[in-house]
Amino acid sequence: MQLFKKISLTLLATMFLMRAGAVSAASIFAETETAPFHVGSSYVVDVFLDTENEDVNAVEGTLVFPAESFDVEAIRDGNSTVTFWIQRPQAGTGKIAFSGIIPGGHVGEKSFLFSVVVRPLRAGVAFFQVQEEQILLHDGKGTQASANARPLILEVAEQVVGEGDVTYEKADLDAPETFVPVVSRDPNMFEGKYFLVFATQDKASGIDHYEVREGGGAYVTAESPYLLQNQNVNEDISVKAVDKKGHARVATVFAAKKQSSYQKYATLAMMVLIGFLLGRTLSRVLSRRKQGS
Amino acid sequence: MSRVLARFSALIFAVWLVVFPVVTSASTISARIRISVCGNTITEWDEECDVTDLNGQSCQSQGFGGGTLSCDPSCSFDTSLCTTSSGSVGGGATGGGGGGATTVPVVTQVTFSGRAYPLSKVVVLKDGQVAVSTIAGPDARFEVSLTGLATGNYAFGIYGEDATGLHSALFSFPVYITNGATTRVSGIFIAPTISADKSEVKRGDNIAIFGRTAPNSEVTLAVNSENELFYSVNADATGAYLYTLNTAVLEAGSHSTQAKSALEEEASPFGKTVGFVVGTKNVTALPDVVGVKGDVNGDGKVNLVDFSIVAYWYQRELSAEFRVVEKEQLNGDGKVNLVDFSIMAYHWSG
Repeated sequence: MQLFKKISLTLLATMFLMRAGAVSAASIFAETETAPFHVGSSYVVDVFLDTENEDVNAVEGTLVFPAESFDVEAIRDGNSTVTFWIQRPQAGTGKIAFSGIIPGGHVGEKSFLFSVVVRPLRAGVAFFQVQEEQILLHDGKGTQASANARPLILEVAEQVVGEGDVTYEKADLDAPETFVPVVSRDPNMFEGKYFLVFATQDKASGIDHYEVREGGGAYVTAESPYLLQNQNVNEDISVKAVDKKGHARVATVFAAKKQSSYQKYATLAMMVLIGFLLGRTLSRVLSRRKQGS
Repeated sequence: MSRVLARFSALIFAVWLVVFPVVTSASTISARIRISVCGNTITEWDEECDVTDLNGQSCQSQGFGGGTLSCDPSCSFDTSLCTTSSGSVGGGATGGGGGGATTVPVVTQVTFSGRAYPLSKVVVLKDGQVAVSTIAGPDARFEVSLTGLATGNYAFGIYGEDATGLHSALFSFPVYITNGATTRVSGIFIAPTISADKSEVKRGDNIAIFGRTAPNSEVTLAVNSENELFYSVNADATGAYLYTLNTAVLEAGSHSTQAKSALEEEASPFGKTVGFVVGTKNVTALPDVVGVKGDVNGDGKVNLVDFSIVAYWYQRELSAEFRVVEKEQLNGDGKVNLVDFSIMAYHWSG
């Protein structure tokens, strides 16, 4: 039985290797440093891009795996080759869809995209494969590079007592990278209202979330692009990027139209004057009515 | 179990047969850059030493009688503890360092150097966003540094802006930054800017192709035709080049051209593409507008703001107004998908 299993796995692996070796095409593929997996422990499956010497700038795909065989515990995209995610990798049932771009293009044999921490639920043979993959050339036209599927065939063994999790993780001692949020408006978005855009990276654990604070208000969890609540844009705006280990980096956009102290006092004086005039008018009207009656 | 495995194997084999692979044979021309890391204990091409790695050298090999040779933070020899044959302490650091024992650099930084255009603006992007800019010297050489970096992979990009406001193609490369080390990226040669005086030229008439590059460099123009044609011209002392192409050798139809430069055994990659039509009349080219493609908000840049606007419409039905923008500045297929983002990534200016 064991011999048969080994022969089958070798046959499958050879088959795919032959196929991969026979062609020259870019691919997005999954790989793991640990084998075999054991039921009940956690393992890391990494997803890489091989551009096969092509200069590429956009990738898209769906990592597919048997949902009944694996639980997804985490997705790590820190230190990814993708600069801006259009669709950040997010776990679905048995699949993880993703898409993103690399401005300026990229050439590499084994460029890291993201990792998935999985916990096998049952023994057997399973495979992780990127489907619906698109790898586009850095040619100004978005020409599709020839893509070659390279599935990861995994053997999952029965649970072993004492087998721990193998979820190697890079130490994260740093806050996310410095960044500059930008306030903008465009007739094609948010009905021409002011919005805020921001993006940064964390080279170790990855970005967990962003928070935005307008003026003296509280931080609220936000995503870019963020529709500003204060459309006068006369208060400072702070954006806090928080990585998956809780380190935070704050970047502030200083209000270009911020009211000066003089303007604030002038506004207050105007309000007092208007109030005074209204009060006096009301008082006169009431007094005339009183005299009339 | 074995039956399941056998069925699974058969299934995989069937899938393998059905999904027949496609072969590609495309190749790219890329400029050669050199990367060294001062602080990684490996002496590289532009270093005398690196922390504890003295590259097999000693005080004696440096002309001293004895003593202890060490390495300073800039990866140059420190001979301050070397002694002369008479026993006195030697001549200090050859590379400007001091101190006694081996010193480990503590600043994490990356330095970029190379050639752009004389007195041109050189912009460095870090992970797609503008990180720093500098002005190249009259000889087109530039050097610029970035600090405050973490350990990890960075995508750096560099482009030049010539005196007329034209941008070069973005030259990008990944660099792994090591904590506490100075990474030097040298030999960067920014591709020439390029422009043409006509958008359509009557077959047999001349079209002028011109731009900026490093002074006195040899510019190669590639004209994409049925057979690719190559022409060569030298830039002048100000870095300007001009080639007058007689279009009699080209077939009627659409063509495009790109330029690259070479000087002193260094070469740039091919830069941006300029298109023109060989037809029946002459049409003067409109002034080049930086980043027309992908610049959906019309501010002359292709950056995170444009990305965000396009991402807003990703896989949504486009409004009538944005449909016009998509047609003019993206691929014009009436929807926003990965191809549109790829076009933006190509024209990215940060």
